[in-house]
Amino acid sequence: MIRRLFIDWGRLLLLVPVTLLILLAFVVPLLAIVPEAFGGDAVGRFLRIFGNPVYRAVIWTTVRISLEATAITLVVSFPLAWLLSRATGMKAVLLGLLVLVPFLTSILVRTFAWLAILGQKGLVNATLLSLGLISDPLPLLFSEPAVVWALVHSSVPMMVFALVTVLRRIDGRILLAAHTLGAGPVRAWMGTVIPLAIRGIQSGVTITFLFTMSSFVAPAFLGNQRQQMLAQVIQSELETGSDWAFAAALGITLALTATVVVIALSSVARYFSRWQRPNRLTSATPQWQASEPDTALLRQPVAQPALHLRFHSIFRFGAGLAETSYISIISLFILLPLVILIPVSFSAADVLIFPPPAYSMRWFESILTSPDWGTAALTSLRIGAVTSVLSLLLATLTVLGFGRYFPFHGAAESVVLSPLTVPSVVFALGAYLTFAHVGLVDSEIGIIIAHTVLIYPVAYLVAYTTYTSIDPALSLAAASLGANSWRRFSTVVLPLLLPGLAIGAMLALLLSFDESVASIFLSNLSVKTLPRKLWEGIRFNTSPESAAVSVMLLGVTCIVIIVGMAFYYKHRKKMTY
Amino acid sequence: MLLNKLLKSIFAILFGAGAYSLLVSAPTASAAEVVVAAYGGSFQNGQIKALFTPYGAATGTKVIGTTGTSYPKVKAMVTSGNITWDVISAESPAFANEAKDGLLAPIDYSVVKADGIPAELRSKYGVGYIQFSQNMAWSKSKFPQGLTPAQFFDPAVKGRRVLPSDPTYSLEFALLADGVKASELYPLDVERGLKVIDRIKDQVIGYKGASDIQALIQQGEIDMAYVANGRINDAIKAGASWSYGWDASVSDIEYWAVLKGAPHIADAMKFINFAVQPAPQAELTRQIGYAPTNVEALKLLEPNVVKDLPSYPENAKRGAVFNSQWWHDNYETVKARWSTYIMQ
Repeated sequence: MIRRLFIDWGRLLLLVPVTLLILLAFVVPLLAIVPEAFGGDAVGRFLRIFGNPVYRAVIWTTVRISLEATAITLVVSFPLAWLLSRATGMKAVLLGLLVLVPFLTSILVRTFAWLAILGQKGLVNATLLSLGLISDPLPLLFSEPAVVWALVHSSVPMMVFALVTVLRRIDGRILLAAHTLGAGPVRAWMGTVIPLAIRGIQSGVTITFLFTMSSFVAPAFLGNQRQQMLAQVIQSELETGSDWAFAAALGITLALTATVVVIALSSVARYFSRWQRPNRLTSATPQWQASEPDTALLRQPVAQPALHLRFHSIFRFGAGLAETSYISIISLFILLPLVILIPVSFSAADVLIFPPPAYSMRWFESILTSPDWGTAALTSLRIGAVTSVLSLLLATLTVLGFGRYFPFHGAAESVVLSPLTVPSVVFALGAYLTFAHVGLVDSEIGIIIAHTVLIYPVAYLVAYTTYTSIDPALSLAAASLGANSWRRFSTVVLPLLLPGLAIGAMLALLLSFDESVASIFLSNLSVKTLPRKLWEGIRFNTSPESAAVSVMLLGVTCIVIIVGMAFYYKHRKKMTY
Repeated sequence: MLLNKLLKSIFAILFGAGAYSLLVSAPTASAAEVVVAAYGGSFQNGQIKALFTPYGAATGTKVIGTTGTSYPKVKAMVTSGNITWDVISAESPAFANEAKDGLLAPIDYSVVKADGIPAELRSKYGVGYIQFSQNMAWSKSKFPQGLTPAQFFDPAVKGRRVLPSDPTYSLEFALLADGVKASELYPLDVERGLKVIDRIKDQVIGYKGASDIQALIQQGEIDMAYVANGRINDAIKAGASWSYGWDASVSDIEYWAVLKGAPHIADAMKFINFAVQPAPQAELTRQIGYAPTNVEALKLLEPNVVKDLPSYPENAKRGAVFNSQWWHDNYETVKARWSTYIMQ
């Protein structure tokens, strides 16, 4: 008992850095907003939200769109994650790139790419018109499907990341085993793979849902005013309105709504994951009646094999065809907005328009001759690298601090994940107000702190998912052989954790690169990150320059990713020896 | 093994680059500088060419242009005390609210000398430097016969419409199109204006800022819009097959102002003084079609440029003048009503 208590205290020490970060860089900025929301006529303010059908509709729209996008993302991503987790060699690298590459493009550019695809003179309408299938362009843009579509596109990489770390550890032979035991394909999947993957599904759904809940770029550019989402209302309230108190109250509404839905989703996941916890298994109801053994087979003549084989090969062929067509469709969906950027970046026109009226190198020339873009790229690289290292350290310490059994784990975890539940706009405003007092606005350190707060929960989720999939018996075995806790960590836990941590680090780096909200609020003149520069480019010039920048970045970062994946596979190979 | 070595060297290079980039992040400091916040896009490009670059060349002062000027941003900056902007460009309602909340420093008229600018535009906290207008514009391929304001609000005239994101200008446009005389426009009948917009509300695809509207026009995404005259002029220059009219247009003043507690107040005053002189004002107008407030600047402009300005008498008499005093008093209540309205 005493020994157990001692370990707990040691573990609590590991949680000190994350506690300090949450308190100083997250809770304090938000506290700067809470008095704003609840100060003065707080009752009137919240009545204005909940008593008004318009805002109730906005809340409902937000939850509906987020759930739709999350559900579609899960369904679309799961096969991809499964294929990726089974793939080896070149196939794995290509599938991995398929997920990572969209991540490198700023969300703003991708949204603009959808304008070029779905617009009145966009790719889809132009194609349909030239085929003579329609006579007037379809109103694809500025509608709810366009928003959901873009949100799914942005969420797929996150979902796949979350799923792959878990799916990778599932032995594919269990499907064979289930098949041998007579389970049909549906039952085999629902009974084995899905319950084993539930942790990945849970973290993927949580990340995706909270991301879609707090997104405003896609609904602002692709939706219309009648199906506004909460984060968008908050953002426009902050940008064009003067009622900060109301924006703060809306932010609190958003955070509460998101929390409620996430708790509901987690309890659904917990229901599915009951198979994973044998101690919670209810005693199986004894089967009173065994089903009649099917003896018909015994009496049948033995002339079946030829037919059987042919049927089997057809089935296999069908499955192969399904896989091929799935990969083609999902690749098209994921890569189209990026591919579109290439012709757009060579456009001779002043605006982002597809198809470009003429081609030229003018945008590449203007980037390479302007020192601004280079400076912005270096700034983002610095911020991203430091954010990534900090997030990783914090995530590892937090995971180890929590360990396998932690009192009030659910509550503690929701504290750790709380930065995800607050829309980045609200956090950015709070950060702006607080950081200004200590001179952190318009400084790289300020953005690094904000990014770390926003991004380390994602690194934590990935690290935690990996950690819980590590067999605790390994650590116990090492302990029984006399390894102390540091040795157990460095020789057993860390090597097993490393692939998850590598993914977490890469994720953190890319998220920091892509992050625009906090950057826009907290950067100004002396610090300009790449997304901020892109934002200014798109918001104020709508020039293909941004597309050209993305295309150049794409080339560079693809190399980095190939290196990262090579490292990952090398590491994996070493472990199997 | 080769792969192993390769990976190691690539990582070494990456880490080296990261460490190096951390080291070279030296902050820049310069003697005389002034930070000017405006709106970006074609308007700011014009300001850079006509004002920022020539002023920097003439005085050696470094003019840093940035974007995002708006009442909330200015309020956040001044309230927090972390003030990085010196000069802002502000539309009259934003300017009025900023002045009301005490966010601005008084203009030093011993430095800013511009007798050609009407006295009412040389106010305590800002100098009105251009007159712009909001105009109805339409796609020529969709409406080769042109368009009237009444048709804009006629649901039978099918088309994809865009209105400004704020109630300012949108309500004036709706009321003028509905037959309200320019002289009787204020006080605005807000509910009537909203009822007029109601007629075509399901054909409004968005309520957007000027840069966004210009982008939508150039991408061929919309058929008709209500947008700043300089932006539609620029879109047409860039090749958009569009036209615009002066009926139901609303003209307003854009101000230069200096933030209270700005780091370079003295340099800010000198910059404003340069920017309101006749020659730079005329050059700005050549870059983007907004009218100079300095009467001396008008004399420098070519007749074909003047003809397209909101201040040109033939144009001015077909529209209305924005009443910033009315909006100063009513902006907050109308804005709240508007935000709710456009979401329904």
